[in-house]
Amino acid sequence: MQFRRPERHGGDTLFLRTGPFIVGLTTRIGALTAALRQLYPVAIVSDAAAFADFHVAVRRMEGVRCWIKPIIRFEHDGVQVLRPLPLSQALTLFEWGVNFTISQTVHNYLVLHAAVIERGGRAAILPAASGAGKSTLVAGLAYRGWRLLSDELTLIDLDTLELIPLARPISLKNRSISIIRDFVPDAVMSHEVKNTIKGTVALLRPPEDSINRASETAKPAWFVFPTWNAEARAELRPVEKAGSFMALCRNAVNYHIHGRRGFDALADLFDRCACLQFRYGSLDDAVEVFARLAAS
Amino acid sequence: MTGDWAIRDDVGWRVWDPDIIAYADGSDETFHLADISGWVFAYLTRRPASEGEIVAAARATLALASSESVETVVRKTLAHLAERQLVAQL
Repeated sequence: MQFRRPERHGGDTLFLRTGPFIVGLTTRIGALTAALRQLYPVAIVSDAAAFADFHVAVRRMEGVRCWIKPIIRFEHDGVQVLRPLPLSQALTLFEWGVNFTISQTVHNYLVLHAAVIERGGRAAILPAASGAGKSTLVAGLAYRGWRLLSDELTLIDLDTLELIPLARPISLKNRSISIIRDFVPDAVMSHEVKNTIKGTVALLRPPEDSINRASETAKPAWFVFPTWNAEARAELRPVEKAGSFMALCRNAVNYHIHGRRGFDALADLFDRCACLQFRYGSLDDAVEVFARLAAS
Repeated sequence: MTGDWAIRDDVGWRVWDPDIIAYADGSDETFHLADISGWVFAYLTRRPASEGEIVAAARATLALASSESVETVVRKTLAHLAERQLVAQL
């Protein structure tokens, strides 16, 4: 980790490697850089980066009101993106801002709004709407034998259809925070950020193995559509492909930009992968079902 | 012009029984084709065909629940697919 000289708007620049990208973050918010040091281990923070794929900043807004209630903004290339948030939400603003920046600019990949995990050389893509229990499931599986490639964005190489790792901190919300604290007592988690638009959020550091294998792509084998229901018995069921394909298209980040090439890539992916629906109520049961899936 | 109907050259598709997904370059839209529209499109994936041939095949294969005649249903379906730039007359 290295702090560089103050830049034009003030603040130090911290270079973070996240998946195939280097993010140059300029900020003066010490609590943010302290939290990032905790979540992004030293090994993945570039100490000699003269180049960054993304130049972002998290800065305090100016004005009298901001002295009473400090507000911060996220910038990409000097332009504000996303709505400003209270200073106490700097960590979530940074994480959401980086995800937003990647999803808006990385068009050399087909990008889906889905998590990816891998075991035994085969990867599962998990698309899900907010509140479906995707991040909880992925966090649990990542600490029980599966490698985390991504919690939020699936990057697909349009030529090889391989999945590119983007193992960023896992965003846990509300009840999921205590569930994962109990499930993985020694996991490194950020402080809780309260009153966000998603409720209380805490970020979970990915397992070391997922971070260390950040350049190792994976071959997709399954699409798994998870839903959490307290009463549900953990169960995988085949689901028809056409409806799943359309649901994924509607929720894809940049499918519309790639035109026919995007259709062919996603359709080829569906040809290769089994399509499964997964309902679960208990994380322990989910781990067992996924272990059987990996062994199948 | 033969008058036969065919899938347009700029259309990509996959048949995942019982349904079909199709992408039209012309409109940059993706469609989920089910029921009669899926059946007609699937028929045309084999080879171009006249409306009469499609109607005859539909009559022999399908049990349509529509109050309309098979001819009307097939004609409307072809028009619907053509409007979405998925099929065209040769």
